[in-house]
Amino acid sequence: MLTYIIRRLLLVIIVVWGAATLAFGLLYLSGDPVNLLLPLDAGQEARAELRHAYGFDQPIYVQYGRYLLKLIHGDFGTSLRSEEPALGLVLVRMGPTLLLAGWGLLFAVLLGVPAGVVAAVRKGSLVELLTMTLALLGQSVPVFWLGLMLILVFGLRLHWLPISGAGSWKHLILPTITVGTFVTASIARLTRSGVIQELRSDHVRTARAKGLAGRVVVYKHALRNAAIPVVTIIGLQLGALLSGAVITETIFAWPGIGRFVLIAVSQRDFPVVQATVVVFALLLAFVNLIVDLAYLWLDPRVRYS
Amino acid sequence: MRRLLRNPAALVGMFIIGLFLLIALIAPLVSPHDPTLQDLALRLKPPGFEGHLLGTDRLGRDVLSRILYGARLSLLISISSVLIGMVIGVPLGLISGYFGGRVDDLLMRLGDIQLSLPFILLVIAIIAALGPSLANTILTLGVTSWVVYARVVRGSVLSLKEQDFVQAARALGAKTPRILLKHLLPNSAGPLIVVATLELARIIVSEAALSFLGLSGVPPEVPSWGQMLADGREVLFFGGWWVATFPGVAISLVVLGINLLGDALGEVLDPRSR
Amino acid sequence: MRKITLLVLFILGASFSAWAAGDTLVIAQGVDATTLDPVNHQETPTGNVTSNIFDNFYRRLPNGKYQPWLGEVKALDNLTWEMTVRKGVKFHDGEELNADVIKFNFDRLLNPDKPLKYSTYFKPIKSVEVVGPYKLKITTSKPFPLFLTRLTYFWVVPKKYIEDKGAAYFANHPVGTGPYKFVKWIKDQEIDLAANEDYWAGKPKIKKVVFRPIPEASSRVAELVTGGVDIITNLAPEAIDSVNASGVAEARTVPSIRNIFVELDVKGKGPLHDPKVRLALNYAVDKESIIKHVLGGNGTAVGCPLNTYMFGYDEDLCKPFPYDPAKAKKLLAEAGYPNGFSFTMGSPSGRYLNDRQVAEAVVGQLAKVGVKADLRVQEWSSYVGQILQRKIPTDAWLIGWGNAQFDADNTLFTLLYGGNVKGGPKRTVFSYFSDPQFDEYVLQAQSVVDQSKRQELYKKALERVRAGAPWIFLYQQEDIYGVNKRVKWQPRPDELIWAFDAEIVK
Repeated sequence: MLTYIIRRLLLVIIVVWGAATLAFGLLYLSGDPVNLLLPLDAGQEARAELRHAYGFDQPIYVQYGRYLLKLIHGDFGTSLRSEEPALGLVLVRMGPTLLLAGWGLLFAVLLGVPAGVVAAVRKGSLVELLTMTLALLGQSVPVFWLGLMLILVFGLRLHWLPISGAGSWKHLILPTITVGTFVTASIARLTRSGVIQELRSDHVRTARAKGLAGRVVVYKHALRNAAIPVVTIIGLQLGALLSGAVITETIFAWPGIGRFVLIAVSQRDFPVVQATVVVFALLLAFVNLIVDLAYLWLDPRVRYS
Repeated sequence: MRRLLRNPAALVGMFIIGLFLLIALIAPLVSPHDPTLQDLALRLKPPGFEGHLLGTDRLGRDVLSRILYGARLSLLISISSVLIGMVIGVPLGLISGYFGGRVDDLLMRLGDIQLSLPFILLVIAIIAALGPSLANTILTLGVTSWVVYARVVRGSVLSLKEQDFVQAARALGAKTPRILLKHLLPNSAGPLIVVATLELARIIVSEAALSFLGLSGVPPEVPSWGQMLADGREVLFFGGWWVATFPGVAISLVVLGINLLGDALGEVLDPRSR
Repeated sequence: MRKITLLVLFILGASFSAWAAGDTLVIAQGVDATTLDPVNHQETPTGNVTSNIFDNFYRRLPNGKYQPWLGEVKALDNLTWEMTVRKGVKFHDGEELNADVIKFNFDRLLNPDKPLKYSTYFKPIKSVEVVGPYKLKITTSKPFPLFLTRLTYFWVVPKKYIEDKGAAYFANHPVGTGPYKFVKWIKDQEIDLAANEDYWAGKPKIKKVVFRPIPEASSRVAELVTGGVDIITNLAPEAIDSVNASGVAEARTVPSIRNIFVELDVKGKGPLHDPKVRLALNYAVDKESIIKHVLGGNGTAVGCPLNTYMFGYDEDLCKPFPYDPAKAKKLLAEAGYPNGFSFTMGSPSGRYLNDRQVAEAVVGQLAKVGVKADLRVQEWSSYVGQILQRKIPTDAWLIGWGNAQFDADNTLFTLLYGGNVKGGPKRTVFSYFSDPQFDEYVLQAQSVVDQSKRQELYKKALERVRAGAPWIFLYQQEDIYGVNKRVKWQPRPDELIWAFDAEIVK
């Protein structure tokens, strides 16, 4: 177990290196970063000067070597736009992103798992029909449409909640519902399909035959075994949320990383994009390690040889 | 198949999907107007205005006709992207989960690397390298989504491979490919289908985001639901709620249909439910 | 440590939230500022914030003209200038403005090891010499007729403060001489400014100004009509009626310095090589209809590269080409294309007011005379890259040109000079037009000081442009703002929002 964790942690280094290298290559393909740094009518000379000042006139292997060398020392360079340390700019945006991801996921798990279990246990009942219809709707409504509708109802018409921005718990409610709905729906559906499967399986039948009470069977056996796909999807969604819910952030003017990195890519702010990628790689590696450890805990049969 | 036909949800799902496929096929026959015909004087007219059942968009084009035609491109993009993603992701997930060890490390870490790259950066780089086109857009959307399928299948396989029925098959001398395809794949079908339907909706909306940024290979005059969403977004509150809402409803309906069908399919495919 | 504190405050949900009420003016733009260093950015939203904290040396008036502001400049001869700095101006931290500070500003801009984004505007300056406590002598390496207008980009920063605290700290905690003092900046959330009661040009009427980034157009409008913010930028033309009907806010517009047009690759052997075809395209596009319907009336059709703000504009030669599909068809037939032809056209998306819809409308109208244009929408940065590298994948491309110099030179020369003058400069990177006579005129206009002669030269140049029709001329764009009715403020053509000009009336 411990060796497994240590090995995974060592692999993180390779993942970070791989992601950083790929990001470097993709950015190189994406065009000249100086294009948008100067006004359109700036002379070629001024452009060349700026390119030189940032070292973009060097051969690519020199640029890559320098980049790796700095990366090893934990130096991500400074933003081409604001000339501030890139890592700092990224970390400032991670705060709101973590907050939204955390609440969104909590909302989704607290709502989605019970809904899925109820729908599975009461298969064929009105309750199932209702929860699953809601889940299907939650899954099929485009996120931006849902977000804008929430603004329309609770902000524009009822004036109950702020339309955009951040800073208080009130600002958090609509974005949380917006990112949470889709996740809730998928968790509910996966939980339901998993629990139904498990309720039919031999060991649950055995447990039932042994005379265990229905509720105990559901929670001790069925839910636990059905949890693997649910945990997988939670991991995937958490990963996605940590890299920023771009649409939700845009609609609610939420100061998170998703929108920030979108702008950084559009403006070819290379150091900022590179710093973001490394931060994402670390976060994802961490989330996936947790997910894999959760598999072990949920299903003792799982082994990583 | 017969079990599928007895399931009412599956029937509704099939009906919806069939309807949209039919619409995509015969769009020219049923569209009341030319979907690309502009009439600037008739822009943003509300539903019901002079034969425009669902209103007109920002250039005076008939929204209904654009939705009907848009079914072609949106179904093509979303379904083929999902298929591409599954074709790559599912085998990798099976292998990763079943063999574990180094293979698992390699594939899953590759997934981590890919997911840490901002999607738009991938798209920009691919367009810069290969040029913008519909095929490249589909390829990009499809290829980049393999991780999701691989992760879900791997998760299921990790737990399934130690279960009695797999152990028994192995003891009876079943070959690895047979175990993967006959035992492990069908048993992970349930979550896989749920995830595929999720992806389907995500991809239609992703195409909207891409066209919003000028990164979609789809020419702007060709109607697609994603482009219509992107186009109507600015006027949703003020000016013309119908421009984005109706394509949104179309997307919801397709996703709903595929979900219903998918759920039923998952149950039918699950060997334990037989 | 500060970042962690901010993070903690954020998570605890401390209320930073701004509300448009009382003495506070809340301004919502699409994006946050990238830096608060006034001469090291390349975005209007950043300029909007910094122009309230800092003063420039010359100030642009709402009519496009400029006037002395932090001092005055006199030309001594072709290459030397005398700069006089205004006395009695103080930075927010008490530092006094004098010739040393101005020299420091020039040194900063002209430092070749660390160019700033605005350095490009001051390239011709060779040396800066302090000749008195409030006097400097500037020498340029070549005649620099645009010096005065470039001084509107000369936003003055403090010397002592930057030397003490460093440029990085300064860019986050700016100190200027302007009407508003910096209070705080929560990235991507809000920037707070407070009135500088000791401002040399008078006390600001509005006591507190808050800038908020709200990227989604619909959310911006929703905030406006519920009174959450006072001024929003880039109001969609489609939303104007609803905003005006809200009773809370209204749309206010101003013609911008930006013209929108479709550049044509006139080289090569295709149909676009023929001036008749290009004229036909100009007659085939119904500018008035596009302006009325796609832009909600917010634009003015023009038939030349210039607009009324610019020196060199000529009313007759800039009359829009009338919409005349019959004439267009006739011209096409004369050129040998009675059944039309097809070409490809590029457009950005979301860069200019409804740019993509305008491009689609142009394509739709060309189709009516049998010309089939295939539209390719592109991502902005790639689009610019292709233009700057002259590797444009389409035969035509829609673009806007701002010309912040307000002078014909930066449009006619920069965009159309074809390099046909012996011993003259090479063709510019943007030019696909090649007319030796035109080239002569615009080049001459660069070296002539007499403004009436220049006007005459530009007139002749415009005649050549009109005949050659190197572009499909479209319109001069208007900037649309949504403004709460309690705010007295008129938008400016240079896209800046100056709170000092505004007033809140109850």
